[in-house]
Amino acid sequence: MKLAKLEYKKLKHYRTFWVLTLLYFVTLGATTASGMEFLKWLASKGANFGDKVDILRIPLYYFPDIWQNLTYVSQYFQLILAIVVIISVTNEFSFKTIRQNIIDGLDRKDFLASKLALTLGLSLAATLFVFLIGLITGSIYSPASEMRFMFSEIEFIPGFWLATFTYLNMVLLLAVLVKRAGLTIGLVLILPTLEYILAALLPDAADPLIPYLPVHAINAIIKVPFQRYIFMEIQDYIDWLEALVALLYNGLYIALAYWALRKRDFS
Amino acid sequence: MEVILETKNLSKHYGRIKAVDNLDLQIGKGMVFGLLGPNGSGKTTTLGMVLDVINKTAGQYYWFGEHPTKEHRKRIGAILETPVFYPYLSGARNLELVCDIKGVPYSRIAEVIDQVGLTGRENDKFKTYSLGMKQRLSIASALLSDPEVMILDEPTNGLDPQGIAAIRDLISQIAATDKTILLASHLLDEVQKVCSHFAVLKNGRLIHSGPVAEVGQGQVQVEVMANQDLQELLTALEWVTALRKEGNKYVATLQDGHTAADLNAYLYEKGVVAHHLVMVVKSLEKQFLEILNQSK
Repeated sequence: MKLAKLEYKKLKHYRTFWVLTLLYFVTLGATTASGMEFLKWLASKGANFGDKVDILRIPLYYFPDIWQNLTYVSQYFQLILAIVVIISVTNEFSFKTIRQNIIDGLDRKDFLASKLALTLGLSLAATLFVFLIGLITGSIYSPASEMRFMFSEIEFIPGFWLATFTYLNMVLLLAVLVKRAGLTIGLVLILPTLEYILAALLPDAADPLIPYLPVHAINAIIKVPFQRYIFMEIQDYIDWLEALVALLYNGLYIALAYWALRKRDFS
Repeated sequence: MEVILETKNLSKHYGRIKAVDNLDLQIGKGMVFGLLGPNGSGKTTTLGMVLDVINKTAGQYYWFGEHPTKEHRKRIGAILETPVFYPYLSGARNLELVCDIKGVPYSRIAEVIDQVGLTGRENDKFKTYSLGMKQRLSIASALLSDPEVMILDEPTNGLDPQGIAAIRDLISQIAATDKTILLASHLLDEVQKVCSHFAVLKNGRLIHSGPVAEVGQGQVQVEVMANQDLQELLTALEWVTALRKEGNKYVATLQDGHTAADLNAYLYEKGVVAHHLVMVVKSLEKQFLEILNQSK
């Protein structure tokens, strides 16, 4: 807790932190809350599309569908949080303040814990925010008959937290390893592409392993929900095994980040 | 003697390069300990290891006679070459962070800010400070926890004369209490002025360690000048072991047990009045160079 406070004090008066965090919540809020308005606009413009299916009747924001739809879409904004984490970590290297922190009486474990407080805090704040948006928009758009499903499939909310936390800890590890902000952001951007290329190149025999690759493991938690509206079967629940894989990845990222910090000389 | 810092076979190897090699040091309470050595001799690496920012390759070190932990570091004030703070935070907020880490109440901040003369600028961002102010902030930061031990690494590097004077003042202030100071420097007169003990490192190895007071001991050299030729008079003396002429001055090396006063009495007896008579204190610089040469 003391370490969380320390990290917060480092960021509290750092403008870049607030700009990015606000950017995240504003874009996430605006996008997810306006989906229905967007559909209305689409319906008013695209006559052809609207003819086939009345898109206004797609229950995007109906309980309980909303939880998976919302959390799935919200994941696309995580990059902004990733940049917050990257800057917070790489600043410590470029300012050499990590060295000073250690000299002053922190140890490497404390330092890592203070950064984990950041990934935990950001992922919890994002989750709470998404939950509130779901509650509000769901209450606005759901027909009265669906209200009783308000909290079914609520498991996507903790699922969203897990996916975000895992992603940010992966980013944290990369930032600790790479030490430079620009390079880390670039790496985080191309990592999914790299992993999908790798998956494509893997021999068929290794295909069962693909879901366990880092990015796949994060993306596996909340599956793409939208095919259900064209009558395809989707996984509309959180699979415990997939959640466990993500949890294990968290352990791995934290252990590797600690090992990397432990090994490093700050001269 | 209560030992504050002890290293045993402390080593740091970077591949084949031995930055610090089997270093044994003992620093007692109340010492002002100068760590000397040419650039690249391992001074900073040694300090880095005992402050846990550099991992040791082998050996051990003990703070206050115990296995080192972060709690020991909270009792140490360190001023290293370049001041390191969060540039976007004010001086006072930076010190708050140090207080949080060291477990010191914020009430200390105003005191140390005042002590180093930064009052009035403490709420400005660190990045707007001049180098002198940055250095003063790092002194303030080191003083926050009223530390039992101060570590200074080349503290006067890159400072203006005012800053150098401030650091000297600080060292003598602290040295006046029973606190321990570890000072790494290559400025020998500085070490001679403030230190009670010193050690010399070369290529990562300890080649000398002892009290500074001993440096002046041993053979005494005396400079003499008079209005007449002293060559004959001085060579006649059996306790003058060596004599050379430097300009108008004669430099006589005396046997152990003889002093400048003896020489003056002798000359007076012979009816010669010396108008220049100075005992030459062997400087640490000379000693240092001798030590370095001997180690070859």
